Amino acid sequence: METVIGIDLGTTNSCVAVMENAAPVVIPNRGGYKTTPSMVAVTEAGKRLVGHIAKRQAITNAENTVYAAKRLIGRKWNSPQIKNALLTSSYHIAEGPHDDVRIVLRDKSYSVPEISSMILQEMKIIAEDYLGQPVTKAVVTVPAYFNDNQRQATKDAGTIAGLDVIRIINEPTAAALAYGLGKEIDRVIAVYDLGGGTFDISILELSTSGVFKVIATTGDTFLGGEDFDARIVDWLVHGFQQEHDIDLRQDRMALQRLRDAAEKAKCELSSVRETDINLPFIISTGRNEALHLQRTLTRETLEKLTQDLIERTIEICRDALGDARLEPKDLEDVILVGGMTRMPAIQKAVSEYFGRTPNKGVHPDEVVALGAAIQGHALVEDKNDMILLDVTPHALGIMTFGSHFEELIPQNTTVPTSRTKVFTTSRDNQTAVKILVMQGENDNAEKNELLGEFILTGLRRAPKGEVEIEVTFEINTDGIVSVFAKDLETGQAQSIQVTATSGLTQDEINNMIESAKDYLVERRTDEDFEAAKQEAESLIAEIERLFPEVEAVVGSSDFGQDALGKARTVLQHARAAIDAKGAAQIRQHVEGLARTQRMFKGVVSRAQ
Amino acid sequence: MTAEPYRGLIYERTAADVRGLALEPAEIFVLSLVDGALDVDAIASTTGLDGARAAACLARLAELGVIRVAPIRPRPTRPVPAAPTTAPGADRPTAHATSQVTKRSPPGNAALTAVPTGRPPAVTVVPFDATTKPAPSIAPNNTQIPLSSDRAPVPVVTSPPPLSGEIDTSLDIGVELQARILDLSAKLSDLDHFQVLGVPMGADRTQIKRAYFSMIGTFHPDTYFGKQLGNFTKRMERIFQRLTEAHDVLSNPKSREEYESYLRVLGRTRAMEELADQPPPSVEDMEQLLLAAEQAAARKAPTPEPVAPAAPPPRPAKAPPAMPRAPSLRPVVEMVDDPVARRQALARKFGKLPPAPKPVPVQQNVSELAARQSAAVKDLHQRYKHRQESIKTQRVERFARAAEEALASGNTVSALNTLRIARTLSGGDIGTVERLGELEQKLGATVADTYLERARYEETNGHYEQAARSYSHAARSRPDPDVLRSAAECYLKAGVELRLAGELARDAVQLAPNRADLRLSLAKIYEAAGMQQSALRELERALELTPESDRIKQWLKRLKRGGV
Repeated sequence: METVIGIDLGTTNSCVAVMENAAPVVIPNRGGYKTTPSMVAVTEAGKRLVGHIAKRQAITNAENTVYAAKRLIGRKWNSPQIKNALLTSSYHIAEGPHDDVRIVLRDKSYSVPEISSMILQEMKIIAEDYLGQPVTKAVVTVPAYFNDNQRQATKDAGTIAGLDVIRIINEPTAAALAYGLGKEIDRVIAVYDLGGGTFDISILELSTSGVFKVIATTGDTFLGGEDFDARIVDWLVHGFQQEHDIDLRQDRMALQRLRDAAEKAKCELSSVRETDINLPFIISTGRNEALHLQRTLTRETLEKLTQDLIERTIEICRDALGDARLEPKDLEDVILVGGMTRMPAIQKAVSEYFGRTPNKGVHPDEVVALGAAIQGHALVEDKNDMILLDVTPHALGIMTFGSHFEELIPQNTTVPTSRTKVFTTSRDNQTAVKILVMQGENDNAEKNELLGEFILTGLRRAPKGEVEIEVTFEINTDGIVSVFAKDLETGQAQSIQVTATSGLTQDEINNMIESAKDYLVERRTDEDFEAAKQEAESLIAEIERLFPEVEAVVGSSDFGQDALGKARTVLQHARAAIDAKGAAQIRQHVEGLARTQRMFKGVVSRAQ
Repeated sequence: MTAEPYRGLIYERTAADVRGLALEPAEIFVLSLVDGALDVDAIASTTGLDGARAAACLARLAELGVIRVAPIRPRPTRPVPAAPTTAPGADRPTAHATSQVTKRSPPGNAALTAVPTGRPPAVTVVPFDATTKPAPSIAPNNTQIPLSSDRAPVPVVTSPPPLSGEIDTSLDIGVELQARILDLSAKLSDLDHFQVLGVPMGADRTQIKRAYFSMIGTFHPDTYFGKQLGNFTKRMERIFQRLTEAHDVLSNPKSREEYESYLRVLGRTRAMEELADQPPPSVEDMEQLLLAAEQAAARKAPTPEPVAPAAPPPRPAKAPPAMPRAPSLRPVVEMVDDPVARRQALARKFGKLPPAPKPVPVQQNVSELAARQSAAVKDLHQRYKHRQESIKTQRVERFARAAEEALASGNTVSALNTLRIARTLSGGDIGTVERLGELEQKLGATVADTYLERARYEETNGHYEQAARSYSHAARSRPDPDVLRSAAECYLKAGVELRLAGELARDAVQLAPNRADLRLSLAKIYEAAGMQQSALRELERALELTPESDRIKQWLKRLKRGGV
């Protein structure tokens, strides 16, 4: 049975987990950290950096470091969220083909799934290093409120990274899985998930029969920790503007520093009542003068700055309970997921609304990845003691005349689900019928998300009304929409042309897969080289350290001079190999170096 | 004689003539229920007699040669029907027409499949299934006296035997499971939510959840992740969807209540439709039952209980198939005539009394005798005629009253039936025609209301085609422009039967020609059908009626432009 890893692809941080002896466990990265920043950068030398190493250089390389790509994934260029991101991001966002979005780093254009694929690839490498074997299958999580475009784009990211994403699951559901595993309980719970970029609230029913059923879910895919940070940044920028009449936002590096400091301050204020924000040399005035930013932020101020955000999450909770036709008192537990839930004001608001202290037994940063690992394992193993019943978070429908949205599959319908509808021609000899498929809750179709224009083509010529095509709209367990069509008279499959969808074409994806593979090869080679180089260099250092001593002992004899000469040659060749960056060559010389070192040691110890 | 040995037995009618026999009312009642399918317990519970009494009656009837024990019939096995391409579980169209796309229904299809054993396949609600009228019942022996079943039995129709190619041994799921899936997915549209989950009607929330959770383990696609399922994937998904729908409706108290009352209404309307297809019951049978009921009432001097509750029990789940409900006519029917004479007539009928004594002829003067005789004969004749007439009127009146009571107690089906009899008996007498006409109107109103209730539930739950049909039925019993319009709009939403929708909308307009909104509905339908000119015409008339309407003006503009 193959190993399936579970990846929590977060806005700010990502986490990977795997099942080990019937329990899920988080895999730490090389540095020993259990989570990895969701950041990607390209250095001046054109090298790709992912994770902690990318974050460390974010300030100095602000323009070419991408963060919070999750806020952009699956969105159209013409959406309000992209417009917002344009104003606040330090990296360059550009328009792509068919209303798509591109990120430009060092004059090279990347699609958003491509950036996310780099993070996924990093998590894949972390898992492979730990497990000591290649990993190809994964379960990747998304916010429950992600729409079809966002889910598809995330799946594409996985494919590009060389992963077979066997399932996309919703983050709150994954958390509930990790929470309920092995518990043998019958319980209705709420999962309040406030992460770096998104907010989800899900109401689930757990049962001793091993079924996890989502009753209702809703959220906001543009509400998260980043917005809290943004408020602090605004406050800092505003204060500075008042004092010095300079807009710090204009300087990318300053902006990045502000963001960084804001995040740190926010986290600190969860445990202390006030904290200092200290940014010396934040910006230089035209007159060669450097300005400093120093301010104290209290918990109280932070709470005031972000009160409306917190209230909005509670509003959304109200909606969810309404959809579930339940009241807070009907719930038996509330679990908190996501780093932001560490904030005391949020915990207070949640306690007040739900009328109970939230369950703190789950690790807010890790529980989602754990749940993903559990689900991955459950899918491939033969035992069937666990079933996850999730729902689609948005209604699916089509646009009809007058911009009216006709709903086919309502919000919160358990998936997998499908609906069929028969279409026919309204004019004689009509050869194509166009269907606009949309997702959303608005009666006005234009306010909903267009998933695509599906054109039934090649219809046989006939008087109007005679050709009948049965179209099936299906939402699978990933929450992704498919459309099939069949000619009712002939029973043959009807061809559908899809246009006006955003997202990557298969060709584009294939190209990206190739470059990802290339990157992986390059990366492994680099690692290999680094390992060999380190080994060689430590031996070289040893030898050089012992050189004078050995020279003192044997330098007088011819034999000794000969030996030293040989040793110098070995060192020279080794260094040359290192400079040539040839890992294989270095290894060859390592043997020689090791022998030399042993010999030197021997000489020195005998001389004692 | 104890009832024990007879409990499981099933009786059927013989060809023997009942009328010459001296039977007690209870026995007549029991006799009327013998149809070759009910067993003693069922008869007992229907008649309200206790088991022993019922068994005793049956024994007596058997003794008299009127009934006999039915031969054991082999139980029909569960057929595994061929999977139709447009399977019953498949969802059906609903929607508005766009300007360039109009929808129509697929060739109609609800595959009625056999529901072999025990439980009657009661009513069903499935997303978008095209409901067809049930075929006439083919219950064995056809001795049903369909007096009062408000939940008429759903027909038992066998389906063709399965194609041997359906089961595929190369797949990763066992043959047993495949058979189960084929069976269940074919029956999906005939089962109601309770049946599909395998729970009784009274099941509480915990039972429902337990049933649901245990079933989805088998039918959720994740259980077979990575396995080869062939065409069973689709079927399983359909079953899963249906199970989830059933669970969601039944676990919420409000939606469950609405659903249960919908099932009741559905049963009533189905029974009415059934009735329309059947030949009317014989007058004798009706009479017998009426009399039996009356006599039973007369015996039970204190206030008799109404036999049928105001809301009839949800479904004959406890009763085996093809079972008509107990006559729920209120036993108190006042008689206009002399009770003694009536009893005597009755007794005479059943051969308990000797025939009425004829006037003894007196040996007298022949001509006087002859004159007196002829006068006597004439007088007798007159009285006889008079008597016949009054009997006839009384009879009609009795039936009319019975129908009224049935109506009042909510038993529309028996009311319908009784009224039918009354009509047949009345023979066009003006007084009765009026009386019956009144009654028919009242009945029509009740029928209409029942159908309306059904239509509203169906519409709210998106079963537009069914709703349209129900609205049409309602309009038939009581023409009303709004109801007609609702029917038309539902057909439009379902995207089927546009021509029919047009007719209904036109009828609505005819009934209330000054209502602009009705004309707008008609215009919508014309537009959907591609009949621009007619649509324009209706819009213009609507505008004349409501000249300030911006909406109509916009619409006209758009239509004239020819755009969407």
